[in-house]
Amino acid sequence: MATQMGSEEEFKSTIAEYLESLPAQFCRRVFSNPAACLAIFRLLSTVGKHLVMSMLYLDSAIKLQDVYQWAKPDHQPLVRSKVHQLRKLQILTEERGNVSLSPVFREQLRNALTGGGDFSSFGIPFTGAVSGRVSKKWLASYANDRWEAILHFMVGHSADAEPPSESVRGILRMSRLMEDSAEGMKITNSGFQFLLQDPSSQVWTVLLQYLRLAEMQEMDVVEVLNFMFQLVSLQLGRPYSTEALTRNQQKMLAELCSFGLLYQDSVGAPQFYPTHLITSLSSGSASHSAPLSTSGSAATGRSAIPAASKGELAKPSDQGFIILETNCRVYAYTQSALQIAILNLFVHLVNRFPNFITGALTRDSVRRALSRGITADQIITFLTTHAHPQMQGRTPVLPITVTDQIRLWEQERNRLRPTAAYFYKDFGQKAEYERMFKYAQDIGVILWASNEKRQLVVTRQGHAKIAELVKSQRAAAAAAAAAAK
Amino acid sequence: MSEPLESDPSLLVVVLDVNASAWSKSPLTVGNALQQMVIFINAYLALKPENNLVVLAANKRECKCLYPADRTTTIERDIRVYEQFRVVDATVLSGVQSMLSGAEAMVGDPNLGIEEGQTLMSRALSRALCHIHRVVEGTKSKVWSRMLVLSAADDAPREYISLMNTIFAAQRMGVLIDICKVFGGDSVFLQQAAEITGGNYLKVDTNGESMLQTLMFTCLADHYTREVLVAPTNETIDFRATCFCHKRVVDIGYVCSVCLSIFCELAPVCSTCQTKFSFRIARSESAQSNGVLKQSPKPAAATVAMSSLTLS
Repeated sequence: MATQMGSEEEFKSTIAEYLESLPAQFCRRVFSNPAACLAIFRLLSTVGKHLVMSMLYLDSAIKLQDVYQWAKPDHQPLVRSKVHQLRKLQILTEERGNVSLSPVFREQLRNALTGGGDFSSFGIPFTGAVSGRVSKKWLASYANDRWEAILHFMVGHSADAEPPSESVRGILRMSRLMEDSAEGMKITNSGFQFLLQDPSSQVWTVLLQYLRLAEMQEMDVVEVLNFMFQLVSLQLGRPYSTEALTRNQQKMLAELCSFGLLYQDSVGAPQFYPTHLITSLSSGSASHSAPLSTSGSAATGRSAIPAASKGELAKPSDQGFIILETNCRVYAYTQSALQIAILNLFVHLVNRFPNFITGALTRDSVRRALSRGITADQIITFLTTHAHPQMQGRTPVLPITVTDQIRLWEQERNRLRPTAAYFYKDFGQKAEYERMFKYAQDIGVILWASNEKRQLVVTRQGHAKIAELVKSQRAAAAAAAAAAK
Repeated sequence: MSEPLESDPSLLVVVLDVNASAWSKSPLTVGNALQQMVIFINAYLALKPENNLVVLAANKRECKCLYPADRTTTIERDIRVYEQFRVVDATVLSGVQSMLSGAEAMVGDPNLGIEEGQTLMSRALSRALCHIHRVVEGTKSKVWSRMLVLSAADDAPREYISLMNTIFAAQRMGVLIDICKVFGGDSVFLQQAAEITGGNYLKVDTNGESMLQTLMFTCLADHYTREVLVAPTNETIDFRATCFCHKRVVDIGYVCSVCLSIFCELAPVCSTCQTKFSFRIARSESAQSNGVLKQSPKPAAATVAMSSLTLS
């Protein structure tokens, strides 16, 4: 799993894959909760969502063929695949050619939209006295500090800071982002890829790993999943009560606190706060949009608000600090050791000033990154999301020459593909060569051949068959020779 | 215009018709319709967290923006509803209620007339366009915008011109207009709005039970989904226009040859562009090419002429 790094979309689909792998009765239990239904619904593709919504208020089942007919002719395969996906997720059930939404899912999604059902599923707000020190801003800096401390630990710049807790290290180890070595824990190639992702993808990875961990510790997966889906629907900056949580969920709470996804005043305190790292999961990709401004006051000047709240919640380093020139030079306005370490993965750094570094993308530096398993797309995505505001306004954000060059450097590495093969040469007679060539061609095993030199390269599977042919021919020839004598 | 992508967020402007006297004739009560609408809005917000919403309400006299509200309304905490939905729902419901009660207070007004059952749609639509423009200009990424009009009242013929101008503006901006007409006859103008902008025109059957399902099925789709899925089509669309002089809906009328204004009866001077018509030639019906005043042969021709006027 840890090797499947990529865009955020991929992560969402892996969460969906995880749900698909659950047995039916598990799914039903997960669906019995409006918050979970809403969160799962949001993981679906746009067309999938629309199919669900179209059927949500249909009381009777409809023909599967009719559902396919909703699509325009050239989009039929797309809709078919989405229907298939919904069925794998157990959201759609089929009976004798008729499909309908799973009754539990339908009821709970309706509840989520209309406000009913299990009322604790969206979190129980804490009503007791709270300390005034926890504001949105404070939570943001707390979460960023915690999260960056972990990333620092991964890149090995944490000599001055204390290492993260055992559970954090456990998850890092289990997801193979880091591994144990003689001198403590060491980052792996997939760890490098992890660093390049945007925060919400990183959080998804951690949550997914947490699920696996829970499975291994034989915790109830449904409990963990429900709590997770509840967490992503919580409201930033508001205290929630821990009262109704089960023991496993309490445990999970404590562990997610150590990642900075949640905040608790003290261990066992009756309230907890979600931070923007986890609430932004439900509001789209966190790297671009700040947590959604949903309160009535914040929504007045909609267009202006996201930028403002982004500035409030994100550190300056998150706002975009990289300038990339067409000549592959990179200028980065940052003092964060973490950002510099990440840039160092694929940039040849030249100068460092108090708040500014310069460097260049070179063939060697990019190839070094590629050899660590980082893909060209990851580099390009990273540069795009962290581009300086002055570059953000342009389309495309990065100079095409540079992105093309990075992709070319990646392709360069893929020029050679090793295949196990057998080399035939020194054929005595032309006819023998041609017979062999023809046979190899018929069974399609030729990798390379030269008629002039009478040389032939075939795959390993082909060799076995050719050897048989040769053997049988030799035997036939010997038999014929013996008969002639 | 570029193709809509799956990930692009959308902007939906919901225009609610809260004309109390129109709703009083409807078999579907305002409350019921609003409940269904609120569920629809929740469903829209559930689709994508980035989805942007504006709710406008219009009646005979005024047009108000209900969400986003200018002032912060303190809303009781109801832990059963997802936070994001609750704020919208409460603001919309309380806003509509205050508008309805405001309208009730005016009942004794002597100015109440035959037009009471009409709603000033053009004002609401143009305000919606302004909102859309502001949001689209304010965001860097592409935002696909559309409108949903929940209409109960009859057409107001006197706002024909402004309404048509708004519709063509929407067409230019690439804004789809979906119409959901709750009861009564088909709205001639709104039907054209949906047709011209490429939206759907829905006529909900009388009891209105199926309104939510119909909305979910057709109006929830964003620009991307509409490329993929089939939309219901309307075969018959009433393309009639209103005359500029008496604001009547006309099948056959007179069209000014200079500015293409439509009149229901003969006039010596075009009231729009002040062209003086030569009656002798027209009345002789010699059908010569220099006839200034000519009769429109088909109702459709009038609208076609109008559209070229507004677009040029």
